[in-house]
Amino acid sequence: MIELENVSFVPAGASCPTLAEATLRIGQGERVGIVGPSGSGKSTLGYHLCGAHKLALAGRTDGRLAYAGRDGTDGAPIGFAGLVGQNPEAQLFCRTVYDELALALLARGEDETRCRQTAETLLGRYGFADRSQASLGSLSLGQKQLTAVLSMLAMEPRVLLLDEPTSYLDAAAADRLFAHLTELSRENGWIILVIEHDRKRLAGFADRLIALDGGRIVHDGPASAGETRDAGVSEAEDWAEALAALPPFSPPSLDAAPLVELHGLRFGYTPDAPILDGLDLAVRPGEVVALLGANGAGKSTLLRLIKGLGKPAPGRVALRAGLTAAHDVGLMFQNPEEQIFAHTVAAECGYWLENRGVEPEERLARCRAALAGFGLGDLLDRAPFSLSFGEKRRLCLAAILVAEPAVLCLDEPTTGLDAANMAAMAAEVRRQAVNGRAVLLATHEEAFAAMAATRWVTLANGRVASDRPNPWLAP
Amino acid sequence: MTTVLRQASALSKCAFAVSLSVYAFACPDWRILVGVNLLLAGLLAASRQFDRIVWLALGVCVASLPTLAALFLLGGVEKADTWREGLVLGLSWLAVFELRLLVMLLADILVVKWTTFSDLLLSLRALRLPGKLVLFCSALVTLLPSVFSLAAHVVEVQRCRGFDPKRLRNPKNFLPLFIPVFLAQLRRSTDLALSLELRGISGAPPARASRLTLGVGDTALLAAAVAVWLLPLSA
Ligand SMILES: Nc1ncnc2c1ncn2[C@@H]1O[C@H](COP(=O)(O)OP(=O)(O)OP(=O)(O)O)[C@@H](O)[C@H]1O
Ligand SMILES: [Mg+2]
Repeated sequence: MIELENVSFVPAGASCPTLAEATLRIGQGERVGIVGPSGSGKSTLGYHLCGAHKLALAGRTDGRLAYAGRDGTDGAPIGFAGLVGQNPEAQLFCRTVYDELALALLARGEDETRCRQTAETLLGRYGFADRSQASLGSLSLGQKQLTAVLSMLAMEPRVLLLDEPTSYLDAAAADRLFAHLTELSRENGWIILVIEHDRKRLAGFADRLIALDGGRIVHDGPASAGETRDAGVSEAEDWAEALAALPPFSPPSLDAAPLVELHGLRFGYTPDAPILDGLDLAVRPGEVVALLGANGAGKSTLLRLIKGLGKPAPGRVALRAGLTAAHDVGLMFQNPEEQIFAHTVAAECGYWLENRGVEPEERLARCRAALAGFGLGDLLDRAPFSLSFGEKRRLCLAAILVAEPAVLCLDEPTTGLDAANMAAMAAEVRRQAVNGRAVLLATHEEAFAAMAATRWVTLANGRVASDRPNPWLAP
Repeated sequence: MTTVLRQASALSKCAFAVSLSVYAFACPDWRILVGVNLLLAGLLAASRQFDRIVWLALGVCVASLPTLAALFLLGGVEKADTWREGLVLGLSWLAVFELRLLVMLLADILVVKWTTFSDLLLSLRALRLPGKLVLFCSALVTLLPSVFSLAAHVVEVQRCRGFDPKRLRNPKNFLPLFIPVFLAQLRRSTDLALSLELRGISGAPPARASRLTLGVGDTALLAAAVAVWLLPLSA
């Protein structure tokens, strides 16, 4: 189905290839996982595999490409491949979820009935049928990602490339998606290509693993657990091991006054449909609260309220006396693409300090220290847009931490991070807690919640459904 | 009734709006213009779309009054023999001009409210325009709304890190806002274009791709677009 022979790609304006001499054959019904460190050329390979290189990349491709037996130097024919990128928000076009799902079918000339059937089946399968007429602007990020994936599934391509498809999905939706993809490849012979950093998830899904490093394929073979370890693509699966390596929390000081208190919070984007409804929560210094809950449970909404980006009615967000939301609450957004706007890494990182009137020399020194802590120390003058997704994620956190806010709100801080970086992020969060900050983090990643949090709070139906100490911390 | 009209193809709606707007600028009779405005406002109200945006359009008309009044009154005074006649002439010009402006705004709002981007895109494709052109048009029509929402978002993000929105009153502070919005928009457009191309929006439409079919709504709108020209063009 897909054949690449000695394919190399050199981006416009660069001298060294981001993909070098790739030779691959992928047959019908294969489920392929693509792994490798960030910046190793996974997306570049992915675009070539689904014949979208001419559309997606600017640069020169050498070598021989063929799709379904036909020459593919200029890409694959339309309808051959579907693709969901790392920023699902950017690829949505229509007004409602249904329109988005139907677009490809309508473009192909299918009639309304067929579109409706397809959309109903797909949405029903993901328990999303009641939102089919919802406008895309009113979806949570996870719901947007799901919509982007479904819009590609609806067009029934022969090859589907998904770049971190579950980064914003809750565990249930992610499991459903992978089960569905397995079915599609078995029954309809679709080729499914998945770029994913969660190896455990991949091991249960892919039957073939391609590992990249520096633009070269360093491993290509069946995806059995043993082989992946041999190929140097293993990761610390063992949470206990990872937990032991982290700096310890200081013992909780239960008598300390909370830094944030939420009283009977009620909030909705429209008055008749509250997202949060009577929510109470208090977070003390030194505590790290992991906010868990399904897509659309209201985690992001809650963090936004704490930062003062919305007003609850009724209800109250109370910060400890002397603190203000503007000065002492740091909010990191769920999608790093949406948070970064400055022209250099240093400027992005120092933006808050600049607004506070900190002198340039001191600003630079503090940014340097913060960025070095995240392994971005020598990227000070880079344009943030050229960073990899994981690097952007770390930059976003550094840009909040430089200002040392007393309350940290982190929305999905681990999307796009591999195991090592996730552990580093957990260590950083713990350090912040030990320094007396209060941290709230929304996450779908159980491993991260286990490593970084002291308390697990689950949201459902607008309230706290459960509130318990992190079960993974030794008592 | 409005449901039928709303189901019409995006092209019929555009034709209707364009025809009305052009007619408004050709027609000097204020009574007809008032009538057309009432019709458009009625359609908006009947389809429950008479909302903030419409009031905003009315606001724009009112806000433009002083400047336009000065211009037209000066023009009138220069043209007429006496002061008094000049003022009256200027005022009548002003009224007609404002009415025309309103027709244009309302017709435009009507089309925007009644059509989704995907409708427009699919209609353009059904016309068998070249794929790249369709893609370009789609990028263009989504540009404004998406720039607005991006700008709002960037301000929010900046506010979270100590930016004072009051500073936006000074136009000097617009540039630092404009550049990130522009860059973000650029990246977004490329992602969007890729996803649309893969979904077959820009490729040659397949033989059985939807052709334009004329529904009741289309017929009504096109008939109205033609009929308006039967109205007298001189006062
Ligand atoms: N701007 C908005 N307008 C209207 N409704 C919205 C808006 N933003 C979010 N919602 C709705 O509010 C609910 C909660 O959204 P929120 O983003 O807080 O969820 P979340 O828990 O962060 O989900 P995810 O895990 O997907 O990020 C969702 O049902 C969503 O549809
Ligand atoms: Mg969220």
